[in-house]
Amino acid sequence: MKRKLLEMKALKTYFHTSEGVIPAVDGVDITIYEGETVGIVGESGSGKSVTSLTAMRLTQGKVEGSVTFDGKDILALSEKEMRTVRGNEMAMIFQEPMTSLNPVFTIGDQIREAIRNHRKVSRSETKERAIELLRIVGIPRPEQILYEYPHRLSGGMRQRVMIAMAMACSPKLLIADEPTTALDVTIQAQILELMQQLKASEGTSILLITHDLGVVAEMCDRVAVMYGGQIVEECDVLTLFTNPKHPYTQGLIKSMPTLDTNERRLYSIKGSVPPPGSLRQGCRFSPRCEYAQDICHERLPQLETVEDGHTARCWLHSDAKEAIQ
Amino acid sequence: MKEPLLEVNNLKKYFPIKKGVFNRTVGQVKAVDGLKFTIYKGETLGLVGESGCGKSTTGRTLLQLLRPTEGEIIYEGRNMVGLPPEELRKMRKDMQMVFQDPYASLDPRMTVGELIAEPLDIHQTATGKERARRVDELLEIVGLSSRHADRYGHEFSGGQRQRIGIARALALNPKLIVADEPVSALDVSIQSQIINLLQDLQEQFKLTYLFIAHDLSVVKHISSRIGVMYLGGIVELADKKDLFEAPLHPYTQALLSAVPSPNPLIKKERIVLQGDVPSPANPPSGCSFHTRCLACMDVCRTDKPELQDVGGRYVACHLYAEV
Repeated sequence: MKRKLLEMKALKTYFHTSEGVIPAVDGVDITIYEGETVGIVGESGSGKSVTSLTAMRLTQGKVEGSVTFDGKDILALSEKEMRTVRGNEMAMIFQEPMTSLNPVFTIGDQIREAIRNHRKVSRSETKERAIELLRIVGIPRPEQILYEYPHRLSGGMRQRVMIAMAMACSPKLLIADEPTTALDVTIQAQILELMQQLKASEGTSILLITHDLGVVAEMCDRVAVMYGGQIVEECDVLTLFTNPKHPYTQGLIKSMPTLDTNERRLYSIKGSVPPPGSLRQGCRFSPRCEYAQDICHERLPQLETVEDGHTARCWLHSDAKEAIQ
Repeated sequence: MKEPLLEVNNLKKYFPIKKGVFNRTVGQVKAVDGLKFTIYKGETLGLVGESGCGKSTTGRTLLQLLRPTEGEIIYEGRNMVGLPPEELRKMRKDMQMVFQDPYASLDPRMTVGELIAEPLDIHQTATGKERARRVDELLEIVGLSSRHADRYGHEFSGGQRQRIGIARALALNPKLIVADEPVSALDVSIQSQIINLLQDLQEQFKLTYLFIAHDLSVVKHISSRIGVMYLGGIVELADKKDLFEAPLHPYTQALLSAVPSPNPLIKKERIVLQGDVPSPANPPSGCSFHTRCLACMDVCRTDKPELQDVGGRYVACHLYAEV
């Protein structure tokens, strides 16, 4: 049995806004085992990014529930202790590599900072390690790139630098929040390949947040689908594409045009994504669901096991339905 | 026989790079460099390419939103380049644009009714009751309702805003619509709604589309023919079926193989290109793709390949040159 690396239980993150308190993440349970890549899929406002930020304690909002990382209770750590975890044991890469790099420091400064914050090493060793990291992520001429500023690099190169910084202390968990969304497909292919290589050589677990089901299919072992701040379905990647249970997952997969099919009309989920905080009774997806019954509009279904290792939050697949009715 | 609607000949658009106190022109960004293609009536021509390849500039130059540096744009037998503004305005009635960002392309201070009626006012095609009736009709056509006419853009979701953008483009019964990444900013579940709408409208109003996008699966779904652009030029132009079944140009091959497949059972051979797209301000000599090409030959470094007919499709590559 593999060891649990990150375990989130009944996680809730609230934001205080002018429209009141909004639960952006509303009761999420995710477990990531060692050496595993877990994907979180969802549309904008589904709470997928906030979930990952909460795991690193990077949100402003009020948090409930528990986050256990490598035996540590993340939510109970002091800010000082948290700083030894962040960037060291878990690291993060973001969607927009330009805004995540500091424009007034050179690439070398920023990578060296990441190393020296967590390791007691000499200046020359740090520099060597920085060059080695840049070489690992496939940057040509690393000795010179060290002295360049971020604006001199292209989007793909910047994302490589971000990955180099994240991998600086060989973290156990890498959280990648839409790492390739801002990149072109040929560059996306390069970055995904790089992440696969690093996972294989360093044994890093990856939490991959994305809206692109194609990326999920290529990268992930297990997938959680989020809608309205909750997980609606969780299973291994093959099951997700061959036997999805939740109507939302089914709709998402059917509505994507692909290179392999030739259908004239696309399936579409009616209506639009609810804004965060527009809470309602019953299943969050029920207003858009074509199978919605009375019970769906009245009571919120729980995440239940459909088959081994496959859970779904839907009355259609719930054992409790008959009992309630 | 297919009837051409718009022909483009040797279209070029250079942007000057200016520097110094006197704003001297020190160089040029060759955003679009010598395009030649035809759009036929009733078809959807897709343009794909990575960022910076000039696909959006092409779309804008076609509508003369950007003045071409050189070349001809022949619409129904008339060259649009260099027409006086008044003439151009009349011709533009037939061609409209749908933009990428539905958040930025609607004036926040105008109601939806005003936004949709704006083209009607400019071309004075409808006034008074007729104008109001047309606005309601357009809203219905794109799947909104006449109740929405008095609201402002910010009250709508991304998908609904894109519908408003489409209603605006339809207002003057155009023949050609240039859609520049119309679904890229939308969520997956909304994307398919807009794609279906665009296809329905095409059937209903016999529209011709130039569909610009970077997402190959979307372009494949909607287009009948597809042009692949790289660094300001078309490298391959073919029927959708030919292009996807047997891409000829090495860049098209790499591009197609790079798209992640949403089916975990299909494991395809991936060609991972090395390096980045060169800067269009300083394009490589010879074939613009030779710096990243896996099949690069000596001739590719020196001679620029022309777009040539290879069995009913067009490819710009020395691999297919007749010896």
